[in-house]
Amino acid sequence: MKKVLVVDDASVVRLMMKKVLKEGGFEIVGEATNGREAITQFKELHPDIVTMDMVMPDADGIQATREIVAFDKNAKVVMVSGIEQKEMLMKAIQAGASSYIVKPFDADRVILTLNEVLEH
Amino acid sequence: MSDNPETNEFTLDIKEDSEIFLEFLSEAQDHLEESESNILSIDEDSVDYELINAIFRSIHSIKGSAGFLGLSDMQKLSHELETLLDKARKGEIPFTKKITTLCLDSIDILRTLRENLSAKVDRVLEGKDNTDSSCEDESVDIQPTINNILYILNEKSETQPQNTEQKIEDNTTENEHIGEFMVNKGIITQEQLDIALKEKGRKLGEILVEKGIVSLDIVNKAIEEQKQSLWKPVGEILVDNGTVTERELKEAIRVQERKVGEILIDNGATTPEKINSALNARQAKKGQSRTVKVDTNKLDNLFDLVGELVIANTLISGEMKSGSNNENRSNKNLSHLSKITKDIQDQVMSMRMVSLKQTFQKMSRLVRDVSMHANKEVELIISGEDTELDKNVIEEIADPLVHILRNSVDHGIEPEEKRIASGKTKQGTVKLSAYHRGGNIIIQIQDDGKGLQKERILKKAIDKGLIKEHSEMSDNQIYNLIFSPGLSTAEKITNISGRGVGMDVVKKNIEKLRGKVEVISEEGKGSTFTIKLPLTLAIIDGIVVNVGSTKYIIPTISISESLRPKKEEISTIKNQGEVVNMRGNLFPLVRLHKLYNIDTERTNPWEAIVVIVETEEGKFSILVDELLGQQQVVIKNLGETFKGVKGISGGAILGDGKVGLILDVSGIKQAALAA
Repeated sequence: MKKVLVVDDASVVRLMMKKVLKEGGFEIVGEATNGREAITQFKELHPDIVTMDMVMPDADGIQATREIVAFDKNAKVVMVSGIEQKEMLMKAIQAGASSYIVKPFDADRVILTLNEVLEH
Repeated sequence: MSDNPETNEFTLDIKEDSEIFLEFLSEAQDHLEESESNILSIDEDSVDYELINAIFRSIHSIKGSAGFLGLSDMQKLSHELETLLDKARKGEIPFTKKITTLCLDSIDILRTLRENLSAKVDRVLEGKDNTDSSCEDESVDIQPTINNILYILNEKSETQPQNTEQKIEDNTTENEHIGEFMVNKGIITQEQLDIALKEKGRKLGEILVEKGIVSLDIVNKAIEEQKQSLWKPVGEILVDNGTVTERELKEAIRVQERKVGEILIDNGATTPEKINSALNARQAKKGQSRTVKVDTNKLDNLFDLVGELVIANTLISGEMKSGSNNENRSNKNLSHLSKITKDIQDQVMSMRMVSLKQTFQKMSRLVRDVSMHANKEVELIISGEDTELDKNVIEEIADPLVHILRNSVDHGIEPEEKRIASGKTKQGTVKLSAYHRGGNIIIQIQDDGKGLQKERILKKAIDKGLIKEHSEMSDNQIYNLIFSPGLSTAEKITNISGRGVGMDVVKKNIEKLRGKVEVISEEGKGSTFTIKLPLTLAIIDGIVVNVGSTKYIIPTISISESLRPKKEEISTIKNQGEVVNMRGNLFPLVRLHKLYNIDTERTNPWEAIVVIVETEEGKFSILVDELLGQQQVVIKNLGETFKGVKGISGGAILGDGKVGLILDVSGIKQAALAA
């Protein structure tokens, strides 16, 4: 089973994401509620993939992605963001994110995106 | 436009995904409260962008989660608000007072939407039909607020008159409900309500035309202009093109903003008292939150303690089985057990404790709103907001605090000119503080306003027959007369503090919490209200007494002294019955054995004990056999059967395993008078 680290400051979104991922056959190895936590947990848990929220206190998603990719250049980070932040998504890709999912997401889309990223 | 399943598809099922919904409710509440407090601490003159950032993130988070849960109203409004905050945090638009007000309005609406959802989740989880007609959601119209946000977002120049921050057409729903409520209760007729609602629904333009300030033509033109200017309020357009003065606009807005209740009163359909009791009754219907957030450390401690309890239990039962007669060890084990029990009690109690932070935060919002309305500059200084109190006490203390603070701002703090004339700073100050003292929590409200007017209180009290003329009273006693029923000293009732509720209700509510309230004041310098509250409602300090074989507990807080009187100190006065003469003061004597019909041998006061207790109506004395000792007791409800028994407020298990009855001293006085 592939290991996922779920990063989002909203617990509702984390709950939703976990539900979707579990049903899609992933193992959730950790959760982080801000960018700083995400970086620490990534280093400890070595997940196969990270779902990363964009707007968070204490290091946002872009900063966290940048640091995670700097730590492990093969790290796979999927950005999860609201639709109005498309310009930000470009920044995220530049920071090293592999793909993105738009909130509110549907289950199939999430699983599909994660599997795609993992296959590459 | 409420969130009902027909208009917005729920992607999630409340029943199946209740965990997610409950999480959202709690998270949204935290975000809204934090945002409100952040907004209130933004100083418009030197904006702290990190604060705006924090608000932005909170609102963003609400928006995201609301999107998942299919809460379209919440999502839409938080989306617009987020856009506004985004511009503000980037410095693209200045963070004006107008934006502050708009943010607060939006938060209020989001809060109502959240409450509606919460009620809905409750209903579903309780298995009630979702279409139950008795459910009273406050319907919310988000469009006016969204229009206001869009208007600011599209606004180019910043030369707007100040008063446009008045809400133009929202804030209706709450009052429609109070109207319906009163019709249902038969307090007013449907017809009276319809008239009031019609008056309430009037557009600003209509009011201006009726007052003869502008002609219909001009209003229509302004409305046309409004459509092109992205919902700039009509009033503002009229002020801008010089047809209406700001003062005229303000007056019209005031008329428009009248609440249904006020209109009903003005039309003579009802009285302030009736409105108020209807408001209270409706308030009581609203559910209180059932969850408490507990620090995990406290839970861990409790868990450890329960572990120890199990060990102690094993030790003691092992000892009993083996039949060993080692008294020393038994005693040691027992004392260990009682220590653990005490620790568990403390720990569980501490879990019910909640800090005053949220309550105080609400108060700073209140002071802001009231002072703005009263056109006064008032600074609220808060301290001790981390002080913790029992959750039930916190829920009940908000209303009395609101009332006292409103009074302080509305009547205590003088208008600016008067303050300057009496050599004070232009800005009034109200201090709200909380701290521990003894086993109690003290909450203090201190203002630097004009203070209470002794002469006026005295005159009124004499007029109302509360005291006799020329009675000798200390200043403090006079000031504390404001807590007597029927003594509201404000000469004119304003719509802020005057709603027919007097300080007597404040006092009653605080006493219901087994607390006390007092005021001290100095004319010209200000007043200080001091509220003393017990840490918890679940446990009281009491003196255990007995009458015959029955044991009673008298709350320590109501006892002023206890003694065995001399024979000559007992006498009978006409129409008053028995009294005890204590150092020249006469206290009526209530014989508990007579009141509750108990057999006892000690019927002579000089062979028994007299306990002097204090109530709001003064002191009196209770005759009991003996004092057995002081004890902390856990209050148990006696249930419906004993509800009608006067003078008994509950029961408690005493040290010997028997039940003691807790006396309610004011109830005893009433029962004795009735007997």
